[in-house]
Amino acid sequence: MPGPLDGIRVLDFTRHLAGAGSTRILATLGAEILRIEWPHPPALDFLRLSGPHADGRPGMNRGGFFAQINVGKRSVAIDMSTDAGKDLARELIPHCDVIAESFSPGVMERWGLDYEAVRAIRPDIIYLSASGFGQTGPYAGYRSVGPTAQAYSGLTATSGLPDREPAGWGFSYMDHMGAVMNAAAILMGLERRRATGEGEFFDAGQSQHGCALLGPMLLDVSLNGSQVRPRGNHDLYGNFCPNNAYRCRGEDSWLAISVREPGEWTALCDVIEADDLARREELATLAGRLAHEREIDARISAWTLPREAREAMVALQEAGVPAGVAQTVEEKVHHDPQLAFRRLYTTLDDPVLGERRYEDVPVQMEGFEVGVTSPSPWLGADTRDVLRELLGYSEERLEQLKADAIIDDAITLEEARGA
Amino acid sequence: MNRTLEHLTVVELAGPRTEWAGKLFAQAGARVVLVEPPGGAETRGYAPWFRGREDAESSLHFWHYNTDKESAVLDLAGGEGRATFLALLGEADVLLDGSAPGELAEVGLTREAVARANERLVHVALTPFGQEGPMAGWKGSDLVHQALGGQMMMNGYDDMPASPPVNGQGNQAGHMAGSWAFIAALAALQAGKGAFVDLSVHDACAGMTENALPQYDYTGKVVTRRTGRHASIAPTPPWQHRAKDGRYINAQLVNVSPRAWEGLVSWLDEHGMAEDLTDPKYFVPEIFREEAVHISEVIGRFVATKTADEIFHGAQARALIFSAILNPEDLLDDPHLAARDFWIELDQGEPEGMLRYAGSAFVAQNSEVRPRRRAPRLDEHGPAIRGEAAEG
Repeated sequence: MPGPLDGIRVLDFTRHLAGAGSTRILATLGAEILRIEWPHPPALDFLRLSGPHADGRPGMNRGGFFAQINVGKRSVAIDMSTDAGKDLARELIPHCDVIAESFSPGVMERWGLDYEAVRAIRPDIIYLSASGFGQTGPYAGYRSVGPTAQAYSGLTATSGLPDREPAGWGFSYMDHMGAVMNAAAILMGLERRRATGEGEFFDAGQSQHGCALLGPMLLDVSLNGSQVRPRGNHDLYGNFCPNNAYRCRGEDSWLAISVREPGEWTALCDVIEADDLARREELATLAGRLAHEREIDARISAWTLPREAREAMVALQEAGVPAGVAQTVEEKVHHDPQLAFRRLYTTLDDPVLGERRYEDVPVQMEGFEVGVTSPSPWLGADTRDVLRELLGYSEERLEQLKADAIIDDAITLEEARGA
Repeated sequence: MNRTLEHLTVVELAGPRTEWAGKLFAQAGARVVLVEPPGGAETRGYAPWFRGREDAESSLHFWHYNTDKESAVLDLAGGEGRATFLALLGEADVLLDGSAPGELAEVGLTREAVARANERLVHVALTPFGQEGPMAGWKGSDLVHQALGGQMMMNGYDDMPASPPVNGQGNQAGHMAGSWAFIAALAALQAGKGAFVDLSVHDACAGMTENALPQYDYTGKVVTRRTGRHASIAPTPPWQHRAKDGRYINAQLVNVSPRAWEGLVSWLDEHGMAEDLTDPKYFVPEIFREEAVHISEVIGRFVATKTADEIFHGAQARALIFSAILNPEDLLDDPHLAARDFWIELDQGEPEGMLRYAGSAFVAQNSEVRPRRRAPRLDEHGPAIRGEAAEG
């Protein structure tokens, strides 16, 4: 069964999660992704060398995080620092619907592969340039990784306990959301092309996407002149109350509970055996509960503290109260029946990395095959096949290109295991 | 300039789960009809309020997420409302449906009935936990989803014993899932046939925790939260330092190039604050790693003598990936956002007039992705839409 993006081909110069995560999304929806890479900077993706590693040994094809982000792609090793390498990339463009890159501004232009040059070859190309701060503006040259974008955008400052330093995000949220927004941009381009036949260029700044994700805080500061400060796990604007993480039995075990509707409040009171709270008229409204937030939190904590978090969650959800255990990755993998039911974790057997778990897509689409189906490619694994299939190159010509160190495909299984 | 998705029509069943996906379509120029229940969308009752005005037309939450949309109040349970809804679906490309599993079927709008109205329709159903499964009927919230998804256990403090995990603010579970709804809908449109998309908010969140899964899968260890920086399986040096003006700096020192390190050390040295960091031994990766806490402390002492802006721009000029930790209100006069036209003016009508909104982060060259119109008042477009449907 085909994926919805079956037949879409992407010439992929993206790196890291914010870039390569976007083409991962397209791959899981059926697009063919041709990663153009090389074992040396700038065309090297440093994630190939980052941990965790299979058997704890580093190597170009041994990085678990890289493997996670690059499932289902093909790898074409071309030395883009050479003229012949640049020509090769240009020859591939007519065969591709999309070109995506996430280098610092200027690299693609140096290679003669900026949007204007590419669209001269393929006018309807969808071209994504993804960078930290975008291609224009006073900070265009600034460098950014996830935590930089989170700090700049206000996402870090607003996450934390009141009157403490920011807790921020304990992972690169904006690498994930950068990837998601970059995939969205490419798909908008493809959809517009479907309607008009025209190409499009997107200049994506990870940091600017972070700003756009502040949600209603944006209008609160611009129209009310508010200063937004963290409220811990309480809802920033009091749209839910109670709304907090409550300590449960055991070490570092917490249960999140959110209540908005009157029915949820009475159900909560019933489950935690707080008839006295249920009877108090002033607590029947959200505003009334917000005025007694501390008291309500204390009562809920007294109930959760001796209880096992998962049992408490089930009791509350069965009564119609939104509740969820603050799960670690181990709990998600082994103790979450819904993630197991929907098969969020897929196991793939990689000849170098072994049997590993991969995060699959959050969607099921009837009539289409979507999701993670094949492991990440070794560097250069598909060079010959791609150049043969798309450009009709002969074995002789491929041998010559390899002899001239323009392309590489030399990584055998043994080398990949050892490399 | 034409708008990127101006050829599309989207019907959105109003609700907290669909509003971000609907906004992504609407700001790209798609016609998005927000179908509100009698009494209005739930999020018309969400704070923050416009200048303290608590009524159905003054929710800034609603204003933010519903720019460019049209509003029609339709009672889906039957009669004219149902007929208008089915007529709208007949003209639509996408249905964004955040109703609970089985909720629409209860009023007779089964998945099949929706598909019959338009066989080419892409029907995206966003539910907290998916259509089926042991938790399918459960309820979520931004907090509950970030708890179950694994985000919370990675955010918090390791220098404050017994402190709770912390969720990220700003409706991020809604953004994670809503963005995927947008992606899945656009992908399905490429195939040119109808589709039913079963999207789980829980899956969307659970699949976005960066390196947590690979770390666990390869080492058997679970990452734990660290103050202001990445959760990790082993202790790491602090990244977050307080500047002279009381604001904080994110001073991440991961994959620092030799050039950037030299720039940093000479900057500190100019101010007589490099201490022993001028020692070339720090170019040795093993020593750099072993001395990470010491290095962080030296940088922290330097940061304390400068403003956050001085550190941000000084560090970036030296190829370091630092940023000031800005508060949302700081973005209002940020020169970079201004240069990229992030903020826009929209006409709110009487009596408010022109108001400053956040635009979009998508910058396209040949078409435009940015809001043009304020959110609709309740049933603002209802009469016209019901009229169109009746004329059929």
